[in-house]
Amino acid sequence: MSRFFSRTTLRSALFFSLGYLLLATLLQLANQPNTSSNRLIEDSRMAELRQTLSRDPNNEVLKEEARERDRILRQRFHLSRDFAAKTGFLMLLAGGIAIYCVWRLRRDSLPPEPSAPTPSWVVPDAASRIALNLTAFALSAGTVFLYFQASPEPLPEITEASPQPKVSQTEKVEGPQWNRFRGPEGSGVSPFAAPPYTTEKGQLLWTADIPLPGPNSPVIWGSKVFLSGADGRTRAIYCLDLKTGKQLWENRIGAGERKEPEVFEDTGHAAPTLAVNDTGVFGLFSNGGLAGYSLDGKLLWQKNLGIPENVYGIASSPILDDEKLYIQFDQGYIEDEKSRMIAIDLKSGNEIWSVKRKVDASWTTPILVNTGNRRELFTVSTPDVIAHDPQDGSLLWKLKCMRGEVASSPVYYNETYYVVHMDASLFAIEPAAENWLWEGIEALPDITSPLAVEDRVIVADTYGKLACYDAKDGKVLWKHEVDMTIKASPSYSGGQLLLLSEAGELVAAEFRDGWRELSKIKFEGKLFHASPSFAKGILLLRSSKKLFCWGAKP
Amino acid sequence: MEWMDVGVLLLALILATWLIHRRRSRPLLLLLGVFCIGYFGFYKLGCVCPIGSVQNVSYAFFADEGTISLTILAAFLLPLLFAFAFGRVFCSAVCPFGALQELVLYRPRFLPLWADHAFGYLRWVILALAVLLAGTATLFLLCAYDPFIGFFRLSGPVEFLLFGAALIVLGLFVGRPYCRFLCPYGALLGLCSRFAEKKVRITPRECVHCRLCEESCPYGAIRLPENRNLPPDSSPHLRRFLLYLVLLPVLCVAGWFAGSVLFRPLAELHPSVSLERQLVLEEAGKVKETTDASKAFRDRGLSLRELRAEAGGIRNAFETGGAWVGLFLALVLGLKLLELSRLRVRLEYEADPAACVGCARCFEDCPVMADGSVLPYQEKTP
Repeated sequence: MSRFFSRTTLRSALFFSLGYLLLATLLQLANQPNTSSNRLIEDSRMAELRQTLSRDPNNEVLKEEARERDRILRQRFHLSRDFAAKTGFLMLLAGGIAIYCVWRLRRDSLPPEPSAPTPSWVVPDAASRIALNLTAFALSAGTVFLYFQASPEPLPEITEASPQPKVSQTEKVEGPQWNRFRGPEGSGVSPFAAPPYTTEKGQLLWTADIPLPGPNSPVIWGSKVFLSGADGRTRAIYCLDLKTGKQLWENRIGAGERKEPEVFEDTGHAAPTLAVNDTGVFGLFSNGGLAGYSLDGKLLWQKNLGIPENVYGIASSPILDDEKLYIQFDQGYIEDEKSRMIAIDLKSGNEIWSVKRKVDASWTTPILVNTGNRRELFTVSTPDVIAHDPQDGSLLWKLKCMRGEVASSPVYYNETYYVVHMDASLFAIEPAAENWLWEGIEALPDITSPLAVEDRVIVADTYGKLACYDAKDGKVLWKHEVDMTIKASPSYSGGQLLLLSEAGELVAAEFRDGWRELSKIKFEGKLFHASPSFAKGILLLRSSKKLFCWGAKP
Repeated sequence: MEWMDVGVLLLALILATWLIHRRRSRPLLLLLGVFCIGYFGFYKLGCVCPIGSVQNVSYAFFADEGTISLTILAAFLLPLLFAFAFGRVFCSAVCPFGALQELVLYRPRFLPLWADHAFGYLRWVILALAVLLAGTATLFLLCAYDPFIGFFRLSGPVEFLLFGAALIVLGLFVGRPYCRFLCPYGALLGLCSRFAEKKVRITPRECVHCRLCEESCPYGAIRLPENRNLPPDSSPHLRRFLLYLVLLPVLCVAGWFAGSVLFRPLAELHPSVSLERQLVLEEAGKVKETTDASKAFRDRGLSLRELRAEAGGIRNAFETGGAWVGLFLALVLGLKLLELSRLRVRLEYEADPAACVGCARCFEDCPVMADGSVLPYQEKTP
């Protein structure tokens, strides 16, 4: 091996490696300015175009030039980065070859080892002490010098502009609020006076752009609207003024795994609807990031539950009572035993309890129910529907009836739970019952949740099939099919059944004795996946990019 | 995946410990170093990094919104625990920065011991500043000014690439300049190694005082026998030691007050404080150009009064944090001076546990075999 490479070969390799390193270093230095993303921003022509366009925003020629310039700059940027990376790799390779050559050449020409002399660096500790003191002195002197040289000038006195008009945090909020997924009871039934669902008497009060997507529904507390959005890398909670739609605050969620979880496109990274009460607003994201903010946007706490094993991404929304936030964190398969129900202290973010659930991953939101003699935290999952004690999470009762990947959330009406899924059936179940009251098989949904109101249970599947059951005995009262793709759950407001299509058509209908369409309103936009939200005389709808507020004409 | 990285880190630490303490094999240690450069450096692109994790711990501990993942906490604690037990095995070959410098050391030039002590103090300064800046959620200093990460990622700002290249060129002649003079985590590992249960030993059995190892350590970690033959007059040592001991509280108090004043301006690095300055100067008409941040702040209709309150809180945090930094640095200085003033009795050639990075060079020069036999001296032949 020692003669595998001759000294001439090694010297030549060293020469060429060093030559390449020198050349590549020069090229890298020349290329370096192009690898900075600031180039995209600082380009003088782009700056000119921005200024000109701000004065003449409708000039299509300028817009086209700006687009082309942007494309060229980006292309140049990526080519430069690519060049830097490839040349850098070859530099490392050349460096390695050079080191090897030097090592071999040196090893082959080592002089005989001299007898060990007393090393010259052996000095008394005094020198070390002096050097250490001098270093500390030099550092201190340098810091003092920098302090006087680089200290910022005191800020000038200014008359501060009066703060933006904001709703006081101590705003008195009374009565039920649309404070969680599908309203205060999780039923989709609005307890508020309804706005007119016709274009003659109703109108769009405002719209607001939502920067980040998310199929979660807006929630409302007093005069504030909250919703969240995320794109995998960025997660945010937004607060808007209910009257004007003006954004009051936005907070980016820091708590999170660095890894971007893989999610189904429809689910996205911010599917869970927020939960809000007097203590604050609380949000859960696809990476398991969980955060609480006060109503005026101050961070209360944040934590991460870990990325769940969930093929579509988290969709179960957190719900709350006065003290606790409840999270149905189902994941993996039943044998994995990874699913949990978690209760978190609203004020501190500390876990109060966490119990294991022997269920598959699910995408349903629990409901908190007072059954008359106790409170039940009722959940739907596969294969069981399970009621927990909200106090400590212990199992109250369960019933095996579900199959498949359940996403439809339960509702409670007249002392009966109604649960449904496409791969199972629609079941009516009394609390702690050992079997279901009745079972229905018409228009079983895979995404939307049922609506139970006025002694009827209505279900709507994704393809527009509707069925209305008698809540008491499960008799099918009527069936109907609408030409709509439906991903938002049906709602009830002002005595009418409301259906929202993915394309933004809102249909209000009479439903008691059969389907009768009363009105239809078309909202501009697409991907209306979020279920509607309500306040007094107000309807809120969310598309992929906008929030719409509908109310009565003055 | 991050837990897998922690697993690889743990395995590498165990392997390094075995290679240093049992196999005493430098070639295998170099091989492990090459693997770690490949895995932690080029494959994982320098993250998770125990050196940088110092900041994550500080951020989680001191910042209001701070959190830390268990994997990062594990990456921070594992090398420290190993240092407590076996010395700086992390530095030997597991740290890609250390392994890289180990490989490029071509013709070592020995620095005088005083230079090691003097420049080594910089590590503590960097550690204190990194903790202060991360704990106030201002800046992750070690990541922002990492000299080697550009090599692993094959890109980076030119000034840092040049800084890293300069360290590598310096490292051709001066052993591990980054580890010895700049690495804050190395300072912590050195501290833990002082208490190591099983310290790195030059000789596997009794030292025969052959002096062959005297110049084998390019990092100046070998300490020679001292005061072994005579009961020395200890009174000058004792007087000096007591003097420094008395001065230590004075030094700490001075450090506290100096730190609270001198480090306060660092608050300007915090985004909220710099934004406040920009907005106030804009309001007062002292600057005309707006920045993206100030424009966004106005567009969002946020309250300057609230921002000023927040910035005031951050400045106060820097004042308190700066005082602690000053006290800490004074304490480190004082303890180092005390260490250098005490009378030491050393009977054999030893590796200083705080300075020894476990490179295993001295093992090759030691003629004492594991069974206690001594090899005859032989001149190295080309």
